[in-house]
Amino acid sequence: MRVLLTSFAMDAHFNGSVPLAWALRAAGHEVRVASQPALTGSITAAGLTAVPVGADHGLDEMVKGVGDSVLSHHANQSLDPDAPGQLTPAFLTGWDTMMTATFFALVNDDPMVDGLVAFARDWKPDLVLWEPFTFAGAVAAKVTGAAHARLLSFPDMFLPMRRAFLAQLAPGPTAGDGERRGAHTEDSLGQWLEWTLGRYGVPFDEEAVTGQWSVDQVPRSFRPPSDGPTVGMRYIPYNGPLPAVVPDWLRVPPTRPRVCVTLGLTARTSEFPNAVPVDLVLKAIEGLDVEVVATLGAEERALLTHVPDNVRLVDHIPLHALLPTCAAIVHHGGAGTWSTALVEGVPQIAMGWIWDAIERARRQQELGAGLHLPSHEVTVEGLRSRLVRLLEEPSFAAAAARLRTEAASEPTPAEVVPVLERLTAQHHAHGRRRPGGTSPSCVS
Amino acid sequence: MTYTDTDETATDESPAAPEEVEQTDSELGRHLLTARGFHWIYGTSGDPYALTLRAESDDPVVLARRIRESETPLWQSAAGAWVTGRHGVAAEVLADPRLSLRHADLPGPQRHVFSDAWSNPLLCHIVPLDRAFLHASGADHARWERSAAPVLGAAAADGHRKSAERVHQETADGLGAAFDLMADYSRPVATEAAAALLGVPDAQRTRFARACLALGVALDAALCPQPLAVTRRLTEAIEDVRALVGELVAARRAEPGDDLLSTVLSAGSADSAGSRAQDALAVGVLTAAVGVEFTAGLINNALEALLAHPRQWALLGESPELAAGAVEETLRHAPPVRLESRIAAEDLTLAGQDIPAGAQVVVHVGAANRDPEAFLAPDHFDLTRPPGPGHLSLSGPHTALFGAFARLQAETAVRTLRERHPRLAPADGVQRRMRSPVLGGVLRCALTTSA
Repeated sequence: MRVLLTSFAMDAHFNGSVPLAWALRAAGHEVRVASQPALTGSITAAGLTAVPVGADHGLDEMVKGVGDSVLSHHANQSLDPDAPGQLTPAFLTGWDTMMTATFFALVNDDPMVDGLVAFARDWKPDLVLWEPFTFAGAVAAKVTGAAHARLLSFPDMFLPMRRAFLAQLAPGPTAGDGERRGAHTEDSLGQWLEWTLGRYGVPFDEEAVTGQWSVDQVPRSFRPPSDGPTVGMRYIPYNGPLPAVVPDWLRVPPTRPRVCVTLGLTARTSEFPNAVPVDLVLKAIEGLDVEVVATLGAEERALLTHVPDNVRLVDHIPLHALLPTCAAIVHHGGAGTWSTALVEGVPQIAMGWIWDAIERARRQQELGAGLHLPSHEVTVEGLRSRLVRLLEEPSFAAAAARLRTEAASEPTPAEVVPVLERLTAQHHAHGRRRPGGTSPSCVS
Repeated sequence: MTYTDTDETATDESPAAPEEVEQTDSELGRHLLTARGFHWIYGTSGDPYALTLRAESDDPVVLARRIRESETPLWQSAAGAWVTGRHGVAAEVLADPRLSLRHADLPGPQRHVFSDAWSNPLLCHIVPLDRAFLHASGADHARWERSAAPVLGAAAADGHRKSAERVHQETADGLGAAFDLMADYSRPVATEAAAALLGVPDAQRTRFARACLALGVALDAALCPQPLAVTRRLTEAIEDVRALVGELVAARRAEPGDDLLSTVLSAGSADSAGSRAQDALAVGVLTAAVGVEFTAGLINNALEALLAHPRQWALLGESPELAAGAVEETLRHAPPVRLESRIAAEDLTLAGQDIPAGAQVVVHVGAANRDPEAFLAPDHFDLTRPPGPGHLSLSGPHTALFGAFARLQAETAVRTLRERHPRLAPADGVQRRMRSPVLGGVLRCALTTSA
């Protein structure tokens, strides 16, 4: 079959789709990866076939212009729908409004959606797998009749929030509330998708938000309750487009417990701020009887006032090669780092402060496999004492090992491919009815 | 804005008239969405003006107080605008001819495209409402006010009293035991009065009323992005009312009457027949776009305040002549137009602040009207409040044009309802539209006549 994968151009959001793309290709399927031109290098570096569509999005310009405010709305805010007093109507409305205006409609702008739809009309994919914020994938699928699913590589906080948001929009018991809401529905995401699909003559329904099903690479323990159909898949680490090379020193077993410190790659390649006080992190580790491998870029190194003797600085290194040699990892909370540490069974201190990074770290702590230390709370003593606990209390390693086992119990991407073949045959409209959609109308 | 000497009412459009700009749903929707996003973004810092524009769930009176009590009398909001809620500065701004509804250096539609401009977007004209004559120059407004004065001026108000009383009494007598003040009284009488002013023929009254309803969001839409569908309905209503008024103007040119349009057509202030026809079109469209909602809002706010103060309602029964004071106090306490937005035509200094040309200056009328520097016990509603420094509710070009008209209608409403329905009482709270920071538009206000 023909499978079109799509992610807006950002490595951290694209990387999670690479192993499944390999599996599909290796099973003999035709695979294309569509994104804005800026991702072409990353797609081809992963050995995949790129289809550039639209023009580069202005996410970095947005973050430079108003990112502080947008991020401050979400900073240190729990996204757990069960956490009391967190997902208030005001928060959810702000989230829906700001994220749609500054993010969803930006990375899925008209040229991107038009380009993807045009390619899908030409190439006629059977299945579109889309990164969960790349709604252009859902639009292209709905316009061409392809089956479509979300491909998750981080815990899905989005759909439970979306449900909570829609529930509070629904007419309440107060008379007049529905009328008030009805006159001015605040569902920005729904409205944007409605006029976006409307350009092709396709009506909006919630499936454009949820996909027909989801492929979820997050271990079950971290999946928020979901009533949508889900195909579990094992997370296979892929570290992104930087060369993955094993250095000689890594082949020598460490003599002391090894600790990895990393702040990920996203802060290096985008305007998203790195909130981790890296100098404090290294100071916290100084003097401990451990050896540290810190993957820091040039800008991050520039923030260091002093590099302790027990720290080895490297620019980058494939985490899946490094982590099996590590007793613990201290990191910024990013999804790729977190997932890789999880499948390698390494206890983590995650310094997540925003979005699902908070929930990943919080849940990890709940399950005993790590500790959550939000970046704004980092102190030398606080981090040092947590790291000492991670290294000295065997329960952390034991819990991390349990999660590694849980992760490994999920089917591999290769094993998921036949499931996708079956679901695609069930869902796609080929052979039955293939709505061609209409041309985008120029004037409403 | 000046018009060439062509006749819009005879031909389709004057070449100099602001053009209707067609945008796809995607373009317009994205624009509105982004503006809404900016209001949310700027509100995250707690900025009271940005929160006012969000018009979501925060208490507008509390936000107005925060705007007034800001450290400097005139301060710059994160949303870009210079904002004041102090009575003295507000009065100064509203009287300053260097501050106008439009950009001095931007001829034609007041349109700002910013869907991907993430720094310093212009949020002063969210949608261009030039076709409704809502972004006109001070000179245009002065001419319209002058030429409409024989009908809309304060001196002319008494001449309309009899017919107003008749309409209000008929409407009041037709009310059931339970009714909605806005839908069943305020808006119908305001619409009827406006239609009578313009001489809208009976056959067109339903069309006119429908257009006025959709136009009711116009003043809000200029500052606060409305949803796409609401914006589309507004735009359609503007075109419809332009067509309707245009037909009336053409008819009055052939056969003058004593209505508002004929009065403007016969005024000597414009320099040609064509521009007089344009002026008549402008005044007619503004009557529908501003006059109706402004008047209905004033009636509603007056009744809401009086019914919330039963002793004052009782007092009004003993002394019906207090109706005028009740309306005046409503204008101060609950102005039907809360925000006035201006653009600086040149670099100027206001309240010690340097305001560059092109900057937006916003007066929070609701806040200024409750400035304790100007009013004793400003939060208290008192229909016997002695005359003092004036409220600023009729100091904008739109509110000034329709001030006498709205006053007369509201005073008649208060008198009539007090007389015909002395036991009038709220049945339920008042529901206001979301995204209505300027008008606080009433969606429903259930009352009973026999409590």
